[in-house]
Amino acid sequence: MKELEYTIYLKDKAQLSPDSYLLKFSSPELAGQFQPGQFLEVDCGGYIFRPFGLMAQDPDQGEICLGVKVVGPRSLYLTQLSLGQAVKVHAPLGQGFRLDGYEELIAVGGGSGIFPLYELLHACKQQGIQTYLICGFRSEREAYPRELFAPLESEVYFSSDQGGLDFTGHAGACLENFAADRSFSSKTLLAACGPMPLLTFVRDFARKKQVDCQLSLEENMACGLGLCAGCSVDVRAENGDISRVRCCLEGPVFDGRRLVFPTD
Amino acid sequence: MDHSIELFGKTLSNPLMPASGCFAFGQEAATYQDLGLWGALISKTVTLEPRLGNPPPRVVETPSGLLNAIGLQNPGIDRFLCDQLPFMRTHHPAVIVNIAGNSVDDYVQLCERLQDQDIFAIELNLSCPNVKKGGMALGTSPELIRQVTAACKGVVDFPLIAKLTPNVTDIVSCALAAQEGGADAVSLVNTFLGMAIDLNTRRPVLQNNTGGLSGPCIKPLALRMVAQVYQAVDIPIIGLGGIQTGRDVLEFMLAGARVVQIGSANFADVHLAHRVLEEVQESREKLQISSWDTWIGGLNYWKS
Repeated sequence: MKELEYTIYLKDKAQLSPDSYLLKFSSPELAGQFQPGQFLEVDCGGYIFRPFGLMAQDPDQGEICLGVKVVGPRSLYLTQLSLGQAVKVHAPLGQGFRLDGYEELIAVGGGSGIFPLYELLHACKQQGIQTYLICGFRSEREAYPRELFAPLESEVYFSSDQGGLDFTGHAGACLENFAADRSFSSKTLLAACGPMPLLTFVRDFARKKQVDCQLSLEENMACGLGLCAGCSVDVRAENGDISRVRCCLEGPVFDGRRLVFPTD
Repeated sequence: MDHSIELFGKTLSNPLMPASGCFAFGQEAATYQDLGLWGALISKTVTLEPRLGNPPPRVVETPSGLLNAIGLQNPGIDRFLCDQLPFMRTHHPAVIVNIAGNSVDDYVQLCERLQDQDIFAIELNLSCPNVKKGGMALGTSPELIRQVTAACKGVVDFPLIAKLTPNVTDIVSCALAAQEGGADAVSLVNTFLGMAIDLNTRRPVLQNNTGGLSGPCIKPLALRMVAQVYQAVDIPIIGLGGIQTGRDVLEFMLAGARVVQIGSANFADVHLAHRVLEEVQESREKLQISSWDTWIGGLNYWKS
């Protein structure tokens, strides 16, 4: 039987943008346990826990990091914790990214969807996989500090519809621009996390270019444990059959080209 | 202290069961907790055919509660009998199978399929608020409750539990109808029909528009109904609705529940059965509750 319940302690807090924060927690037991793309269910002072993708882990320091965008009372609660405060979590949960055999990663993140990709890029660095990261922001004002990405040793592009960054346009358009004069092999993996329109774009792009694609989905979750079937998503099997699986247990990272979205 | 309790002539190790729909078929929970800690196990609702349930979003947190509209997603009775029931049986001697159908005949067919299985009881879901047919559509009519229960009673030897919806004017007449139909127990309450609204989209949050509300916000409503029904029926009551702690368990039992079910509280505590049992132990010592018999239904009402 595996232990999923841990208490983590807020160690440091930094503001990344007007509404987003980097929270560093002390958790010697959990640091190092996560596959990139796995998540935590976090007690945010409500009735149910809330899911957050792991942003970074440092087994040497016994630390884990979460990126939190304030979207409501629960995320606000987390960003208002005081240093040293204890937080109960269930972790590590779900199926993360699978990197076996890839030599190149192109990651596309939209807003807070960038956070789970951070740990993925870190894992790639350790495995010697060449990485590119496209970060989509609503505006220049909402962009995270560039220094945040320096340790990843990745080629990083910032994009925004409103201009003022490396590329003017949404993150998907930035990906298209980036890929225009490149060819992909079976050793290339495309990964993305972010809002539904971006994931749909990346999935369709991957299908068109016939490149492997892994998408990390965000669904409303109640348990994160596979108990309630609240977070179901549709996946098409090779024979064409559609099955409804749990985002929390079978995901949150899926083979992107197989995903069927409600807007299809 | 011994927490065991008799139900349907069998001794359960304690009065706690996971509520249907909040524990899947036990396989996931078995990876992180000992299923044997529960007094009995209950399956997620099983229907004749596989069901995909409702489109997402299906869950949203509300003040002190959770609103859901899963819509009875399940693999259907055939796969349940092959894949899930054997697992549940190897992990627990007392397995209750929860079933639902669109019609009286569906419930009867499901009972027939279960007749040869080694199970403890069948729970009739007469109360799901998130499907168009069956479920709550049956469970809001005392006459239909009586008909379904009586029809099922005719085909199985297992104890039958009627799980009732609170979305009715008179819960007592529903419980009496189940008793008249031959139910061996009633479980109450299922979720309350509710709605959550997103101001930005000007839409209900759940794509089903409405959902079933559970969690501590419904506990006082559920306690009141258990207390009312206890005074009217002779069959055991399985109490549920917002239970999170050992003290909650004792409150439901004092109101008249013989055993209890714990649902969505499992989502925020992977060791819930273990913790609640410790709390029950602690509270029983403090309150000097030496036997369940004197406690169950022992609520001392104020005289008006």
